[in-house]
Amino acid sequence: MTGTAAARIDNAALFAVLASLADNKQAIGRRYAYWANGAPALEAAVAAAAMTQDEIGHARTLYPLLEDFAQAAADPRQVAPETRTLRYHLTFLDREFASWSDFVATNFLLDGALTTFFEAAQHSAYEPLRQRARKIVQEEQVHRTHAEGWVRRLAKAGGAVRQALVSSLQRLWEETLCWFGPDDDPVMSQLYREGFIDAPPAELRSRYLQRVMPLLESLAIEMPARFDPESKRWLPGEALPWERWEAESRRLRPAGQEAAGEDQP
Amino acid sequence: MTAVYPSLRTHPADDPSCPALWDALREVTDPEIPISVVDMGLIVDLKQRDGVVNVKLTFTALGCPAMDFIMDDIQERLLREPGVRAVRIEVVWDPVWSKERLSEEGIELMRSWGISA
Repeated sequence: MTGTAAARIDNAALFAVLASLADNKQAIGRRYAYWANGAPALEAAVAAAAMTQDEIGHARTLYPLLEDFAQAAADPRQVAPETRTLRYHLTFLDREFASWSDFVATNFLLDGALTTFFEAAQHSAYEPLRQRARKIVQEEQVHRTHAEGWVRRLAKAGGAVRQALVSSLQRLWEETLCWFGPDDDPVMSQLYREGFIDAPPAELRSRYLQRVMPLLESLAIEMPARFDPESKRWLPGEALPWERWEAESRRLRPAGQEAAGEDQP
Repeated sequence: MTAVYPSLRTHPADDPSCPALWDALREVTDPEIPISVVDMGLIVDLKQRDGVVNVKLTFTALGCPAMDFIMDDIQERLLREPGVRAVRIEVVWDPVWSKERLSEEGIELMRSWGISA
């Protein structure tokens, strides 16, 4: 589907989320690539190379969708990773991974969150997203197996290895939970109302916690989430840092950094 | 479960399923394994009208590095068929590729290369 000026879709919410998904997938692929030659085992390096290819592939199939939107007309540079100047990936991905545990945490937490979104888009009213979502969900099954296997392995190693994993998980935790947006997020809520995804942001976050918490709990890794026995759902255990939420780019400002313009006289 | 695709071995030449074109694409192989795009199950749909062939094509993975090569090869091979003057390829992700899309021959070939199928 190639967009023309006359036939372009005018939907800022869908455009913004697609851009965020593409940027996150692209950034994950770039970060994974480094570890294709540095993973702690040969098998892990081969897997890292394969997952790099998958993540870049996911990005490569998402970016062209941006061309179909009226929102791309204002700045055509923003529809391709080579020319794009905006960065809508998580702040966590701004820097190289400090260790293998960052790779594992990204695969388990962040890529898991994006997959939660794609699972919710498998019956999307926007056909190009629906098609890609189903394929991405299929491919992500093996990423999940890899992620969960490594989370178990690092957690059971104990000592500094386990502590490194916990540290990586903690640094990624809040920003990943925030990616779905506040409970009343106008962007994700609009996608839900218009049938592009099958759940509002709070429900997506709860599904996501259901995805990751049972394993973490079984490994006695304590993260700020709680199981509500009444609703039988996982919920964030602490208030999320929405004061640092950048709604347009769907990422958190680093702690201690003021919002753009706040330091102006 | 395996898939069955049209062929001149099983269909008359004038069959609307375009068996000659499917057979032609059996000469287009994956650059990494010598299995045809047909037996691999990458051809989702194929229609010919007024000299224009419309191909719906899928890939095993979104990150397939051979996409452009395969599309070029499909285009080039179909244009060698009598009466074909244009080829339009649409990449689709529905149905999602799975091993069920392999043909019987495709499964045998994959196994002969030591690949689980």
